[in-house]
Amino acid sequence: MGDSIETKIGLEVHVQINTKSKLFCGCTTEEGEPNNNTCETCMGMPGAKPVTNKKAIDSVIKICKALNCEISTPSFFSRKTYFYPDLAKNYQITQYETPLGKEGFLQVENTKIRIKRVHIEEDPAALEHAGGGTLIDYNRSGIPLAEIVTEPDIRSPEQARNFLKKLINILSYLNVIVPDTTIKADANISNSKNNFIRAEIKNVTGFKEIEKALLYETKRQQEEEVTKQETRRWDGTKTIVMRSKETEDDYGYIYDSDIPKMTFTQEYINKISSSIPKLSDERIRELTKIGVSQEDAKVITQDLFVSDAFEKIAQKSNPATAAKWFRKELLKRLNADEKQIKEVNIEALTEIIKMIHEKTITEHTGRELMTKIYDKNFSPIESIKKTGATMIKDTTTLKKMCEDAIEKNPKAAVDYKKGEEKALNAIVGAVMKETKGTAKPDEVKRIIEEMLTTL
Amino acid sequence: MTTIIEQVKMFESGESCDEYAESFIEEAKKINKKFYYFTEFCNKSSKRGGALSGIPVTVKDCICVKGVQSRASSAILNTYTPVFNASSVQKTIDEGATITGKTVQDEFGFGGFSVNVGIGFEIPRNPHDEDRVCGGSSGGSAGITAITKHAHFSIGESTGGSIVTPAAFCGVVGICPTYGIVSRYGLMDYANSLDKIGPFTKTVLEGAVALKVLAGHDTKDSTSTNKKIPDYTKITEKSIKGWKIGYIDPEGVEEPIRENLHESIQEIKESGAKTEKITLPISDEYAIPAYYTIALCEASTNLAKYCGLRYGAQEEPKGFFDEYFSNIRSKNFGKEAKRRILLGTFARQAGFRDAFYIKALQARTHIINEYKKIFSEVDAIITPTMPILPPLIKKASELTPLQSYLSDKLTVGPNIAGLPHMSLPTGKHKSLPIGLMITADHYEEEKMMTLGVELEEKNG
Amino acid sequence: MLINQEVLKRVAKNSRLNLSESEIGEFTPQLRDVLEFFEKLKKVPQAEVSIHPVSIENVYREDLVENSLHRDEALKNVKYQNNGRIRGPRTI
Repeated sequence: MGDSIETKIGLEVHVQINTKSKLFCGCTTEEGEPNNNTCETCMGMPGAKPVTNKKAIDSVIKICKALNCEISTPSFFSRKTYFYPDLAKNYQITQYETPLGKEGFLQVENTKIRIKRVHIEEDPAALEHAGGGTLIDYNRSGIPLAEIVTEPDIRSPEQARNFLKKLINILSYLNVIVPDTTIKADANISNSKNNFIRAEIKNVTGFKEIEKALLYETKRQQEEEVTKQETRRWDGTKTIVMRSKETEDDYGYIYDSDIPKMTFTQEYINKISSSIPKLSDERIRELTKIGVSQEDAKVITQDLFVSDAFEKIAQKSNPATAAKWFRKELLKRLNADEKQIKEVNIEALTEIIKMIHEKTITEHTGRELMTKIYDKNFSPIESIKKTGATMIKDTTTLKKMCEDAIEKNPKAAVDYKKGEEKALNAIVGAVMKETKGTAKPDEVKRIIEEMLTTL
Repeated sequence: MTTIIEQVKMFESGESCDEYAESFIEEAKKINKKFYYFTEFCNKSSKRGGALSGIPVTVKDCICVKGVQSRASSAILNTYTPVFNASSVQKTIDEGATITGKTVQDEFGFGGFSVNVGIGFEIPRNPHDEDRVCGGSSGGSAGITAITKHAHFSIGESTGGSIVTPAAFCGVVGICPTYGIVSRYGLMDYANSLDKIGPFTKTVLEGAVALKVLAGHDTKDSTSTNKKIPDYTKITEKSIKGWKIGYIDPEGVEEPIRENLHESIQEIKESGAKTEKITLPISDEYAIPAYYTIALCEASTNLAKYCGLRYGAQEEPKGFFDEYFSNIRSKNFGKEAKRRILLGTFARQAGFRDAFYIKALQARTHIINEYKKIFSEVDAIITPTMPILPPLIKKASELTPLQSYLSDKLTVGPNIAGLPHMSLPTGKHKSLPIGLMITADHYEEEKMMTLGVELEEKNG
Repeated sequence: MLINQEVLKRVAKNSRLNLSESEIGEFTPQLRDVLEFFEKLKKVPQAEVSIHPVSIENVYREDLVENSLHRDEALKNVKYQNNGRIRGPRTI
């Protein structure tokens, strides 16, 4: 039944911009004791005035350009007036007629998702419900947020997930958002069965929750009849209609004349554009051209810095081997060690990958060398020279070692001959132990098999 | 009577600044018993020395003074004690002055007569006739400037005429500079695109001295100018010879005021300048509705923050926030504040904002262009400040809101266009003062005050 | 008609003002007069909007952390508080 129904989803995504100070005052954006990071401006004291943070504007313009938006010039701030205890002034400084960016798009696989607008605004305070009232902490008040609004071009919750993944990937490439930031989104959903009468779901927090809410709501709309536009909220398991009282305020937008207009020259826009690094789509295309598998390329390009490091190393070694090593070893190790790529000794990593590719060392030895990869003075080549852990390529030596191992494990040899293939592992293991991992396990296995069958 | 300039010299030769401040405060308290100019007294200074060393200064209630209750004469800000100084106040203190008190005003600046003071405040009385108004909204500032025997100045503020109107009604000099010349940091906003701070003094030169201190760029106010501020005190060395002065001879002006205007025109001619009658038809048509629409749209958002949280009037925060906020706001805003919030909220709501708010912003463009064209031909414009003599308090209180708004017709033009304008006393009818308004092009404060000095000399 | 008692009540609600019956009676005709007068703005010829009376643009600060207020100062005027947080009315 659902197959013939067309669903339309539009998203409004909020992300925090990674400035040190707030959007309109010099208070820190770091966390702190309640109300400790506040001043007359972010507390909305009478007489205080906003002064715009240049870095925040640059960052959002960068987002606009990465999302192929047209830049509004001039662009203004506006006041969105509504009463709520988390709003220091009972109006939010945001943008209305002239968002920094408009009419862009983001290519998600084969679909172009149109971006309606990208604007900048201030975050309200944090509210906690307690004892029949609220407790308010204005530390968050005034933190810069970017709001990215799509046209209703998304066709399924799955596509919404892909869109968000791609978006977050781009934002992290731009280095404009707080790492591991929690995204917040509002979504509007409608379908052909109900003549595209929309429901809006307000303020869903977190990647997974957004997808869950969309799955729930698309299903609900397929099953139920939607007759009027409504605003709903997500409670973690279902969407619930909000009382009309909560949504009926008229925001009465006006320009915020405390803040002069912003104008952007083509020169400035070009400068911002040229600061945008190569994004993952292009990198994936390039990597697959030089022999990296699609799967490896996708994993490597999830993070800008990993991707940058990879490009450097791939120039000096075999890209396919390097990619495999990144995905199978490096990223897992970083994750387990809770380290970042910038802490890695890239020269050393290059040497390891080269030696593996040239079969100077085994992967086993490579893995052992990786334990010292955060040491800036570490030289894998020197280390191998000292320990003599180069891969045994001399077949005569290796054969001798295999013969000895078979002699020392007669039971395993007999079991293998009886057809127990697993028994071979004990003999291979013994050889590997003897060689301290400098032999290639596949090679050892092949020699032993040969010996046992000819014996 | 000694001027600020003379008094600073007397302090240099040994007179005690502290004693002078005490003496002013004592006098002000006495005056206050009869005229109700003050909402608060204080005695704040830091180092002495500087252009205003030892001079007692009073500050309109809507301008923040650190540690001194500052309420914009509204009950909703009862108990509010700023934790920072407005930049204008700080600059004054830095030049050696003593901040001595906060002056009463129409609540948040909402009026032209100072009869719309907030709940619990007294209406200030005209220094020349206690039954009459001071003018507003900076009524207390103008009143004390007129009466005090001390060298003193008051920091006032104008959104639509709140400096020149009370200056004319009280018979003092009130200077409102170009928008952005004086930092608005620390000024409780009425309308952010219209609010301007400026001084009240007895003479034009004292006004120039005060403005020189107040003016200049401030990183805390994004709209403050970064233009270099000229030395305004040089105005006495300049002449208006060869200038062309435009005058507006508006209809509906009381006869003594019209006569006074023509005397001024005559005096200007005697000083060697040409005069020419001008009209501002676009401004006449649209300045009042455009001004009030912009001002009230902005004001209704500025006043949203007053809700019984964070500062000012507060009660045990019980119940649902909507009811709590509404209760505090309804109890503490005066009638005119409520009306202006309602009008502003109406004019910016969806479905109306394009017809009112956006159109008003477009009208401002036309009005500015009209002035710009005139200023390509004349050096300054003169007009009566007010079409009427100071009315009786009783009469002013009985005006309907629309009648009251219409009485601003001569002052809103320069205000909506952000042009420098000033009022100076140019005559009297019986005991009541008459003010003349001079308007100049943006950033032409020097020209405006040069003409002011010229006319002041002619009037003795 | 731009404004009647019903419209006034709705705008008052949006402004968080409770108007008494007598205020509604008094304000309705007063505000109607004013708004009807303002309606002449409809005739204003199309033009650019002037958000400020003078030309000002591109005023920014650098992204530098400055000292915040001491919390005692930030909360100096707050009557109702709890461990550094401001106590407000309920929202749910």
